[in-house]
Amino acid sequence: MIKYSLLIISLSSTLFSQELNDEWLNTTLEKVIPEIVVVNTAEVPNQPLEQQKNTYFTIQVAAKATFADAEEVVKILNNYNLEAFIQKNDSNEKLKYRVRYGSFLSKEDASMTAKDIKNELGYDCWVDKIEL
Amino acid sequence: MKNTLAIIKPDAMKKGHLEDIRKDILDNGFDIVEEKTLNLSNEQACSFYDIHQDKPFFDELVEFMTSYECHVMKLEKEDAVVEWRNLMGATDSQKADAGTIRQKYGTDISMNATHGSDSNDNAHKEIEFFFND
Repeated sequence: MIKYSLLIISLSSTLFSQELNDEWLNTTLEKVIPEIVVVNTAEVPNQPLEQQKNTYFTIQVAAKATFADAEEVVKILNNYNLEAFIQKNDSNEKLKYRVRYGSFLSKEDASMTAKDIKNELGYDCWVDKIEL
Repeated sequence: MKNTLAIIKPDAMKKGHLEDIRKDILDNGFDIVEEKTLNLSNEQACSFYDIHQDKPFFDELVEFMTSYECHVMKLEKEDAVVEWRNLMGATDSQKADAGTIRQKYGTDISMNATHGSDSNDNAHKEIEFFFND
């Protein structure tokens, strides 16, 4: 009986620790390898359908000449749980990659987040209202 | 008047000069009070350029303004109308002074990168047209 109980305890503790490990692994992977989304000018990824057809506010955090530089900014934002994306601006070599964040329904929310990003990370960001 | 309306036209937007022109504006002491990026509809363009409806270039102007996205801004500065027109330079990019926005980013008299209100009255009307909410 004791043997049987020990077996159950040992088995469940192994399963529990495995679960914890997986959770830790997923969290770590998310942090270490953020997904960098690249879209064309004026597109915003993961946008609800009703927003795609109307008006939304997005924050331009930076514009960089190289993908690597833009990616660096995205990674910094991702570390603050801000899932930024890169917009390709093919015709301007000096500012080819725009780093943007969010698709807000209200200007106030976008402006407040832009202010936070500026204060926390020092990026001179601005809010663009997109009317499609 | 402290405000004027500025538009970065489709030719400059297409060439990716949004950030360059915004920087020139801010570097020259303007505040951008409101701004937005939009694709002008045919109706909006016709209505905005209503004053030019009898001119021979009207259709071409509407076609050009609806060809790609525009970036519209409400600018603020003392004597904003005049100051913005000075910064833009002559209407014809070929004749605009060196260093002006139209000389740097425009091509000719129609693809001249930016628009600016020509008087305080029109500035008021144009700002209302785009930012009436």
